[in-house]
Amino acid sequence: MDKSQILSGVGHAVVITWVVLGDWLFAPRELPPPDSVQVSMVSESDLKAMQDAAAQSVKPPADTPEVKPAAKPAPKPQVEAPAPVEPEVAVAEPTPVVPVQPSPDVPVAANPQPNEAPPVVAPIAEAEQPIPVPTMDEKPKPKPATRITDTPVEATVDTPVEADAPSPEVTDQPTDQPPVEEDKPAASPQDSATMTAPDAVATDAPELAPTASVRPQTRPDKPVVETPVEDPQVALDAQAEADAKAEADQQAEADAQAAQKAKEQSDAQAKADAEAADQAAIDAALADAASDAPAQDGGQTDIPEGPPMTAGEKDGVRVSINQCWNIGTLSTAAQRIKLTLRVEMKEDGTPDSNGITMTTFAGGDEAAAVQAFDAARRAVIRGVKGCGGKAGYDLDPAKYAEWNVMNLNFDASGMRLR
Amino acid sequence: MIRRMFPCKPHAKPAQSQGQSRPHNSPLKNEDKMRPFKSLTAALMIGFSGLTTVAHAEITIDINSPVIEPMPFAVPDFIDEGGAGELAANISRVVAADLAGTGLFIETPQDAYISRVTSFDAPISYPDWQAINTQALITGAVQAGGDRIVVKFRLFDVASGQPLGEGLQFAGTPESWRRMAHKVADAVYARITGEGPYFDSRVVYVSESGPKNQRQKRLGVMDYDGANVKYLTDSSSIVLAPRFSPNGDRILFTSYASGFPAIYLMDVGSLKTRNLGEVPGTMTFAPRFSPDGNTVVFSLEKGGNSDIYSMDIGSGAMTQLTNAPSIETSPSFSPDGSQIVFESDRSGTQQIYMMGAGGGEGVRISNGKGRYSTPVWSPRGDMIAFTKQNEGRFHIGAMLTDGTEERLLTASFLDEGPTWAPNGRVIMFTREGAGAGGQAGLMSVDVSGRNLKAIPTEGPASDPAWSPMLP
Repeated sequence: MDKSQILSGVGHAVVITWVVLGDWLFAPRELPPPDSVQVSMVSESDLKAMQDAAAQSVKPPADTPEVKPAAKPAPKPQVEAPAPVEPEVAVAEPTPVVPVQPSPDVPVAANPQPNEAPPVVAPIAEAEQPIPVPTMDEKPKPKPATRITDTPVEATVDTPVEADAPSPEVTDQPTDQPPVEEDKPAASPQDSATMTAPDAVATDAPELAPTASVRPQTRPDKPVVETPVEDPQVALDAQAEADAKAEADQQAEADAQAAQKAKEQSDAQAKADAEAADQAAIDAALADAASDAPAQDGGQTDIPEGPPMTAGEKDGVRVSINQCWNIGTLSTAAQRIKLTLRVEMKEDGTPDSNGITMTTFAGGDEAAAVQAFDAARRAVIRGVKGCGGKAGYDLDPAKYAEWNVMNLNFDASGMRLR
Repeated sequence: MIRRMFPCKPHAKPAQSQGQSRPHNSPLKNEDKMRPFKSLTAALMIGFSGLTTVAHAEITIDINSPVIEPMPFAVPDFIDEGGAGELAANISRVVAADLAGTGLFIETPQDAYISRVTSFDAPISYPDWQAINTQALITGAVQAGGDRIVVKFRLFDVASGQPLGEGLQFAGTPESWRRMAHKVADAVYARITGEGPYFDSRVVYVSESGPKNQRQKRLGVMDYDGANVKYLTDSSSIVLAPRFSPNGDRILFTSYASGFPAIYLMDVGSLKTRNLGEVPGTMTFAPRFSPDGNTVVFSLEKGGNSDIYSMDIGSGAMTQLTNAPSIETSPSFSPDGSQIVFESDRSGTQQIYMMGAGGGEGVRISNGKGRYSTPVWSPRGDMIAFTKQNEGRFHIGAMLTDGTEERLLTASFLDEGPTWAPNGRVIMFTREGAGAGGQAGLMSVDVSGRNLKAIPTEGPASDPAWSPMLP
């Protein structure tokens, strides 16, 4: 036989054999049945019982570290369920972290409320404290606990107890530290709930901030003559001065009482004491005046700087002056005058009548410019209140640095003579 | 005075501007060949920094939409400082009427006053006057003793809270109290508007009486507001076109006393009249003085052709200024006496032409539709008033001396014969109604076309001619 025929025959035999027997020889084995897990529903009462049992089994740590309360809300009780819940969590999330943690590692379940209350209070307090008592913090802290501890009323408020029961960051990072023992009866779930009730927040709110934010003012109030507080140290000094003054007053009152008492003993001695008290009061007053003087000076010399005037604000000035710019009484020569006025403005938004000067004029002689200047000056002065029943212009005091001097170009050449 | 009104406050640029240039951290720092460019760049940055600082320090706003409306003013009754009696109040009323009559001012009623002026030297309570929206306040006082009265006044700018100029006083006879009131009003008007005064002036005109087909005419003279009328001639002959001399002491007019129109010259003080250069066989009319008062230009008709002539009043020498087969008439000198504007129908219709004072053919300056006549040069020299007839209507108009910017100020059945006020701001003219019952009257209008009003006269009147300011 030909060699090639032998090879062909062998090959066919192998193929036929594989077709016949291959299905039996190479069939995959059946997969073992998956492990089934029986899930049981836990009622709230059972869960509460388990939590109580877990709380009793927790031993207090030797030294409880101060842990900042987590910013995130506490996890739901179902997540921190005891052992029966573990397989479910393991199936849902492949990460083996959570299942290996025993239930005592979830103490937050015993006191979940403290994590909820601060976020409600803190943002409001932060938004409503634009002028806080000067603090050395460089920037506001987002976490409410820090703000609470910085305020001087922390010792008198009940709710700060919530900060004393911090909860470990159980939801994000597992911890090996032993659970914190609740050293106060209030740590029970019922007490915690009571402490974090809205009443507690409301009690605390006035001390930190209003409960509702106020709409920002679109326009600041009239410029205050007093020096604005630019440096916290100034406020501290002012507070110190106030304290010193109060002490001086108390001292003066005491002296007066002493003088009254001494008067009964000796008129001469009383007179001397009274004079001393008066002198002390005068000195204190002079000292106060001297200490206040630099601040006032600084306040007067400082020109409030604000954002630049908007086009709308400039248009308001333009419209107001236009409607007061009456050239009907001017000569035809004066009507042709183009002039520029330099107007010095007061802080109250009115022009200084003695600070209105004509810097340039063109289109006529000086005689005509006199009348044109008079009419323009009248328009500037009257424009503040408005003319013809129309409103005048109202300048933003915060932008006084912008409009303390205005250059006004008067040009009536574009107006048709009707 | 002007310099006091405009205190020169130096424009102090912020000194820190040059110090506000930003650090120049150019990558070309070590390249010496780029040093000139670095210097240039630094200079530009410094300059730009300065510019931005200045722009930030002083804002600039364009004011370009004014309003035109009467200015409210108040004239409390002048204080009687002795012997004036009702004269003080009468003078203040004339002042108020003068100002309000211009249409540029509106008087604040006296019952609206909050403050009462009890003394001429009492301080002004500006807020009280500002509260009633008064912008100008005039206070005054009158003293009378014997044959002399003294009127003094002050003007205040209520808005700025300061006087406008200094106070003035005038002295005169009790009979001239209206003139003194006019002078007060003139001073106020001139100070606020910048225009020249015109209240203390007179108007000569033709007073008419009788039916329209047998009209009797005589010359009358009155205050600009129609008061103090006096008649200069009787009605025995027809008189036309009176004209004041530049100083107001003489009047030229045309009279038919001889049966033909001829020019006469009247001395206002003595009312003496003489025929001016009568030429047999001719008619002379439409006379007008030259600015110096020594020459008269007029029309002379001879052989059916009218041309313009000039005559030296002293010598009576005549010079023919035009020589055309058409009708040339109504000549009027320019204020400087160098040119003459006149009307001519050489083009087929009446148009306005201009020529030199020595004569010539002239150049046409009117280019609109219709007929133009009776041109009168403004005392200010900037405009020419005229009568225009177009499409059956008569107009009083004004144009620039080159014929441009023509504006028609009135329109009616018959408006004609404009005359300028001494300040060149107001025009008076004749308006006559249609039909047999139509009466001629005097009207005035602002050169802007506003404040058209009738001048009160005792009867029909025509051909007004404004005098110069009285001495």
